[in-house]
Amino acid sequence: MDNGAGSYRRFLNGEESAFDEIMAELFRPLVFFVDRYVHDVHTAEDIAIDAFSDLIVHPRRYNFKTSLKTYLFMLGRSRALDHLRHRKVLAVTELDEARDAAGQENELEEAVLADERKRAVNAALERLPEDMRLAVHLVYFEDMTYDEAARVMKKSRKQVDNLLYRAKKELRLLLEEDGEEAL
Amino acid sequence: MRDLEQCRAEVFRRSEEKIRENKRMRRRALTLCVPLALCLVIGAAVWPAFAPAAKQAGNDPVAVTPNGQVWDQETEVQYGDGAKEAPQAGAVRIETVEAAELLRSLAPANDMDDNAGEAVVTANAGQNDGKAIGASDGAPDAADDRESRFILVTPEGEETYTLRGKVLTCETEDWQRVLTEEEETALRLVLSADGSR
Repeated sequence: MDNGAGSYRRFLNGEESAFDEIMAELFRPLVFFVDRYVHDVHTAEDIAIDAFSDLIVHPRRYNFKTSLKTYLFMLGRSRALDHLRHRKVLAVTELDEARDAAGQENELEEAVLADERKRAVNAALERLPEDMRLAVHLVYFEDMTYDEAARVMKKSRKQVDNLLYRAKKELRLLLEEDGEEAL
Repeated sequence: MRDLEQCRAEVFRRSEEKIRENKRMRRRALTLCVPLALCLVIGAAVWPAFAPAAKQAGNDPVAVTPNGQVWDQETEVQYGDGAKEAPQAGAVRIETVEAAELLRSLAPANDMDDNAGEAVVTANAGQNDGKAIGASDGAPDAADDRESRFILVTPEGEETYTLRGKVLTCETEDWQRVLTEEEETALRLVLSADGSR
């Protein structure tokens, strides 16, 4: 599996349906990943759409040396961080809207995480520090290698390794507390 | 949450918008850059035409060096430390005894009007152009208008002279006379010897 690179090559060669394949494969995971940063499904979706539109506007920027998934997640991360940096006023969310957003969050989770155990881990993940959360997400939810995760997070492989080690320890404790099976 | 089809449509809509925006930015950059480039090209072409004119406008043979010394570009002689000591434009400072003796010998013996046989000029020294001279042995050649200005430095003070063609003018004592061929040659010789020193 080339994580979309082959489909993207076909899309660049004029096969427009190849883009649908990329969208089907990578759009929801990207939204889910960006949502880890922005904690708002709509914003995450917006950022993911922007990242995908970059694939069309700047086709030469992707050099095919990394997987398309890694590249898209890198785009998504940098855009999510930009969004957080520029977000000066926190929107006050009405209770109904918050309930609605939570519902949509669950919807997204269901769409991305079919595995029940992953869902339990996902719930526990929210209680971890951000770096650990992202490392676990990329490696265990998106099945990225340590190198790919390191590239997306702009960290060294060793740092990702350490983050995952500590995250697993924390998660084990949290899941044991919740009566769930540890990783 | 939008479904995948809606998201796909939004991706294409945004990418078209971005491409349009990029094209607009490129066009805007071009509309700014082209006139700027034209101005630079025209400026570069026109500048050399102005440069000689500017050089001619400032064609003062006496130049002041950054350390305050004065440099006569015509005679290539450097003068004292300050501009005050420097001669006027084109003037040579001479301090040799020979030059002083020669100039003394050329000076009219008595009153200017009494110099019988000598071509005595009564024209105003400031306006003298070497043409308003009433000479008994013939007016100097109008074409021969080489002008040298020099200051004779003596223990008694400084005397400013102008030699235009064959007409020697002492501006300090306000007299003029037309020199003979030999006198002029001798004087120019002394001047060139002093100037090159």
